[in-house]
Amino acid sequence: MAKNKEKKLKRISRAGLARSVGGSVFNFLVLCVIAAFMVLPLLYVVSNAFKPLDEIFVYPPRLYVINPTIDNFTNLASLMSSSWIPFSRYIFNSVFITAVATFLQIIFASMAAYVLEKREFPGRKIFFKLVVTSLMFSTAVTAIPNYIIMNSLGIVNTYFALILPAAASSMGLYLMKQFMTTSIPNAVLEAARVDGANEFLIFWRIVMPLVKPAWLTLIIFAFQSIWATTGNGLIYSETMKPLNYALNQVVTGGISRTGSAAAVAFIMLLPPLTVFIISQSNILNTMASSGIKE
Amino acid sequence: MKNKKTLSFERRQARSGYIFCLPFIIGFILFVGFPLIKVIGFSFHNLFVGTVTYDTEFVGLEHYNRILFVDPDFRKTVVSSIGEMLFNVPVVVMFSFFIASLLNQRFIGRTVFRAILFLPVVFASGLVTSITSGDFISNNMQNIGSLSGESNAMFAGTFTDILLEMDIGNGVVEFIEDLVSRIEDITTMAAVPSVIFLSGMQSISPSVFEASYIEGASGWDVFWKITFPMVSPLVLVNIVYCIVDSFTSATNTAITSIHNVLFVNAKYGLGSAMAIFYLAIVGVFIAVVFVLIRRLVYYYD
Repeated sequence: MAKNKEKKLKRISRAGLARSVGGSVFNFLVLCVIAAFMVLPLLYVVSNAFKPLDEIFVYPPRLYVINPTIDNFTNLASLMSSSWIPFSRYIFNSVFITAVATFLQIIFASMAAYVLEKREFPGRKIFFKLVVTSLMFSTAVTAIPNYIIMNSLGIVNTYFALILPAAASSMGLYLMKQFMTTSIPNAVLEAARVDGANEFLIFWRIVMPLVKPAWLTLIIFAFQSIWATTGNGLIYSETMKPLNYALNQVVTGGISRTGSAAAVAFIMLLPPLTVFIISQSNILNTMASSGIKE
Repeated sequence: MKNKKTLSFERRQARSGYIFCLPFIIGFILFVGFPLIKVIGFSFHNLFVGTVTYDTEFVGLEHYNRILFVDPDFRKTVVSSIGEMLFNVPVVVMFSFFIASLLNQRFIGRTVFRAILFLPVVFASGLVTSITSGDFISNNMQNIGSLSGESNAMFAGTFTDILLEMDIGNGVVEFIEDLVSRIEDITTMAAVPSVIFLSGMQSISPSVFEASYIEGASGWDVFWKITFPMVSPLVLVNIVYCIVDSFTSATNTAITSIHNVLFVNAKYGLGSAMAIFYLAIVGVFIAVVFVLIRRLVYYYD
């Protein structure tokens, strides 16, 4: 089956790609130019992290390192080891909060998106409209009422203060629902129901695998936005604060900390980048095969 | 008998619908719905935040009156951010559609390009931008910007001359110049929309393409008569996404001024009223776009 499909795809692409060599070269060049704009900032952050201090301050700035050094990282390490909370605690906080919140966000958003898209029930249209309306609201505006709510729930100064709001993400629901419109054929769901699968089974064994590209994409968004929270105003205990907060303290040290700040930027970039690379490679594998044959 | 059965099926459907939505609805009411209602309430009050509690004083429509008729700045800010949005959204949507259709082709290195395309999303994480926009490094970054700006200017100089020679009107030339100078922003904003487009293009069933090639359609035909209509619902999605993105980004002038009123001046009532006013305007824009574009969208089922 799969082999057949691959062959078919190949044949189609051969037929479709009756493009001149010049056209292909043009495409490639356009993409190179666009890619350059996207890679330069990353390159700059990475190279800065390995620059000795005198090179960081060079004007005009360079995108490459001449004498690479890990001084910035050792400086950062000695700075962090002088804090009275072990550094690993911050890492644990961040990883725990990000992992749980991302997981919950994906599951809740997909469950709601699935029924909103594929099931008829009273109130679903109004609910979806409310979700879309809430998209337009900047989170900064609701900061104070949010705090009031969390206070009355008693979750201020716990991990939940960061996890729970992230779990109900309107953008996540909106994107999942749009992906589900195109990638889940009703026929498959009906077949599963006829075969006696219950709703949870259908959701877990059929819907989720079919929209794998969608939730892999959503993981990237969710991960990077939750990873970036500092927990300011919601978490007071030093032992509960995320890594982002601790590293921010380093950065606010001013000019003398520029080297360490460069290292911080690099470190903070690594986890989202890793998640991105892992999920991206999976997206590429699944995207082409998510449709079924009709 | 038959009637009864369909009824129970509908009932079952509704029940599973609510069960599946429940976790999200609870979270939504607690952390989105309730705060929103609170903010609307605050917008009619003056708020005095104490150390433990807060006091409110009812002032009616005073804040709205102030925004609309007294305050000279906020209206201008909103108008300018609408202008910004009107400029950004069509450009970003077209650009991302263009990128997605390029990346949808089969060519060498496509995996690498797709990964690179997505980098700005990863890069946008808070701390990295706060570092790259906060201190010395930011100056450096700006220097890089101005360096490329200089080469841009050189390039744009000749380019502008050519365009002016072509006699296509000053307005158009300015528009194109503006585009060139904003290419960095546009590529960044286009990352998420292009991924949405790309996944839409990937999910079109290959058999549709096959059928049309057998019928003798050219690549051009297939693109405009199959690919484009099939992803047209996503055009709507992306327009909404871009409007929201443009209106709520932290660099948006209206958002920054609301933020200032809220947290720098600590005028929470006024800030809430500004936010509600702004939300209403954004809502109107999205509603208009929805009504206008929905007719053009093709839903395949």
